[in-house]
Amino acid sequence: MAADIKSHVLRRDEKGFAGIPFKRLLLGGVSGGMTLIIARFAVGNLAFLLAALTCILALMLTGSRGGLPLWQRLLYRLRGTLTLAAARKPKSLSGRLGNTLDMPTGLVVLDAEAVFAPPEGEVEADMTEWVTFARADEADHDSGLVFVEQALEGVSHG
Amino acid sequence: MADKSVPVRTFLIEPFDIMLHATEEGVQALQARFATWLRTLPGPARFFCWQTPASLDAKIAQVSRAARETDDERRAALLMEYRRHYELLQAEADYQRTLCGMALWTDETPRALAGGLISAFDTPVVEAPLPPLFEGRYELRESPFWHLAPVGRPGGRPLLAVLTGYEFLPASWNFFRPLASVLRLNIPLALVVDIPKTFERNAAVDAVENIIAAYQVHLSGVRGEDSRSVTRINDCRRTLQEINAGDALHQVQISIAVFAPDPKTLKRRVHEVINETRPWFLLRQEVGELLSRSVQFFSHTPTRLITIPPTTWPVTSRELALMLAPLGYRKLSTTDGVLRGEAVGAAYPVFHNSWRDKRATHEVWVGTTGFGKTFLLNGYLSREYAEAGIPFDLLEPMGHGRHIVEAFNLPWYVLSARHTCLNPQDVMFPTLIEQKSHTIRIYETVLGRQLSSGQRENLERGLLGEALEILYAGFGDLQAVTPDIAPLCETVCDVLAGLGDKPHIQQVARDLADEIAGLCTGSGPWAKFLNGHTTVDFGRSGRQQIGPRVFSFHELEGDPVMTALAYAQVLSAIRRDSLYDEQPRIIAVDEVYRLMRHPSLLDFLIEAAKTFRTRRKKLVVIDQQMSIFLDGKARLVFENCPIRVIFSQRQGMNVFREDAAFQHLNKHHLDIIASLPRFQYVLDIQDEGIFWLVNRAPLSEIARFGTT
Repeated sequence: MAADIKSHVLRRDEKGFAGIPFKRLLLGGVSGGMTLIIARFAVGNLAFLLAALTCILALMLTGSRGGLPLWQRLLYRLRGTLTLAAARKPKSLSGRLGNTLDMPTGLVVLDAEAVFAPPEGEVEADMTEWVTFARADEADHDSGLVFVEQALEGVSHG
Repeated sequence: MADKSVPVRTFLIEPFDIMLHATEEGVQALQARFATWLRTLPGPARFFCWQTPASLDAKIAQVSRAARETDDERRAALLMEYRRHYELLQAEADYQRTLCGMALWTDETPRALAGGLISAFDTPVVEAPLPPLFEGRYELRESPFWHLAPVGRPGGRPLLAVLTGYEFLPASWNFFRPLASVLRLNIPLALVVDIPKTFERNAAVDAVENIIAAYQVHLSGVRGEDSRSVTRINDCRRTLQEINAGDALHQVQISIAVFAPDPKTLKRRVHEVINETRPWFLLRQEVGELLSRSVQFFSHTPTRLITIPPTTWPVTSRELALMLAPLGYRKLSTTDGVLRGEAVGAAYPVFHNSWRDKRATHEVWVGTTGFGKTFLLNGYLSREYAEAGIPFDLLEPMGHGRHIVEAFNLPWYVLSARHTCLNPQDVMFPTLIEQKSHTIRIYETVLGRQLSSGQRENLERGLLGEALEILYAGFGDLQAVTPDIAPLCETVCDVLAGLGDKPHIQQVARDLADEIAGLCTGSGPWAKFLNGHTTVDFGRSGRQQIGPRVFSFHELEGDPVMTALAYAQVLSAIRRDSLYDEQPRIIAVDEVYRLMRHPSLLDFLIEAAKTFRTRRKKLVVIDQQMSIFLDGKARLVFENCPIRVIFSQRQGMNVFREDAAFQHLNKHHLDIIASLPRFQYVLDIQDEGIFWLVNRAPLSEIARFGTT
């Protein structure tokens, strides 16, 4: 017996253009449009070129590789490099930058004893849930020993 | 996702052999069972499989050490032969060791969870911490590519890369592909199937229906063909069907950690794994801080605390069941114990140590003549003797014992109708009551009737007991009665004939004495065999340890009563000796039915089995059909035998189908048992597993026992 694995049934992935999903095209278009609007004040018609480049860049950076958008992969790679620098060469430029950005230097060295420490032991049974009887027939008249959560108050000792 | 307050329970699961389910119906049943368990997942879960290189080095070293330490030249020579065999096995194969585990985030009690896992996977499960992915400290390295390397001296510790699954392709999965083929790459790796979320049924239906609705809206506005959306809608509908049929919807992610001794090999292995799985699912090699974080998938850290971008995939229970395929790939397990055979198909040697317990573990062996029982038995006795120094007593009625006698130059006790005498009055038990019962059992077998259950029979039992008591009382101390002075049958008859204080009782005593005398004295059929002092030395003769012995009964001229009496007396002597010490010993009784068909001797065997067990004497009872061990009282012997070695049972399959003792065997197990070829057998070890093995014997055993 076998099973045919299905596509991602909880994610929409509609057809776009030239193999690029519609949502990425939309993001590229919006990025290019925004660039055009802003850059036109500064660089005039050159803004059209900038907008096109921005659109292409947005399409490239949102392209998925390894299940992650390229920008995210590059970001993690950069964070990794900065983290290594912050841990190993804290005085270097990249090390100082890593420290400034508060990179997780604790991830550079992994201690098996910490990462793979066995889980805490079994949770102790709550004895207050139990009534204990010395003899079986005691169970009939509900006079068993009961565990209480804390010491009883108002008991005289004299 | 796992709530912080929900504790994690971790379990180790003994992998089983998928070959024992390898038919269409077999794997279907397996998938259905796994899926049923997955449907009820109480919270997040994570399945682990570690595969590490394994070798027979420990076994080879142990055998070499034993060869150096032993004073017994014969044993040393055997050990060197076994060492050569293990070296040969090692040279021919790349062994891996697998270990499977499961982490469950739930409030349920571990015992209940383990019980559920045991019944779902039909394999031993114990609550235990998971083994670490690596030992000591590892650091992140960027060059020549992102990987983890040991800090300080490696000391044999490998480099490590982690691959994370991010996309499942539309492909057909089964228990053999793709995960089993990853394991078959024979590289050290660890595989994790993380299940961070199991949707509540209605939530799953809502989520999938929403996606369908969205696609439908999209399609209604699209001109032309959008096959991708159409396919997605179909997939969503199939998912809904499966959910409505009882499946759950799970979020799943696969992670694989690959190990290698150097970066070049690591890179090659990473590519091998990625390429092997590419038609089914895609893997990315983790980089930077993602690499460090993804290591936590191999621990009991909840997924939500691992904080890597989620690339989970929704699958239904029946799909997820196939991702637990590594459970069906039992590989080289422990090398503790002796070689019990080689797994059929998987071709790894199976070792088992049945002496771990303080008590001995009895075995029952069944199989049709000619299928390799005796050959395997000779090999097994030889291995236990050579490797663990455990001597044996072999009782057999066909004269096969000659081979093992010649191989080891052992004393061969051939009991013959003409030359051997076994006195029923020999003292075999420490107390008078037990001794009387034993001797009466012998006489019951001779008489062919039981001295109980009727008034006359009870009187006879009492009178015979009284006669024996009078005779033994004459010696004072029972233990002082050595075989050369033990009373003879004729003396018993003389004393018996004079008993009774009333005439009718005197008559009963005389009749019984005459009946016994007619069979056991004078010219009676068993006079030569029973009426005399025992001619076989069963005693310890002052020895601290008794070496291996072989008792053959082929010269008893096919007389079933004589053979049964010989079995009983030899076993009694062994039983008596076993009380002196707790040194392990194997007592193998071939064709045990010859003893068991006599009710009085069956009682003795049942009692002896219990005594042997507590005295670390392993009883191996062997016969052709399992059915004889399941009838009436014989079942008590069977139930004392947690290890069962089953050769071809083509003619006696009904007991396996009908008897409750074999309910743990599925249809495929039964098909295998029904069609086992020569030298193949099923080793069923209670609470440990079922193995389908072939006797791939060392060359030395083939040379010695090949003519068996």
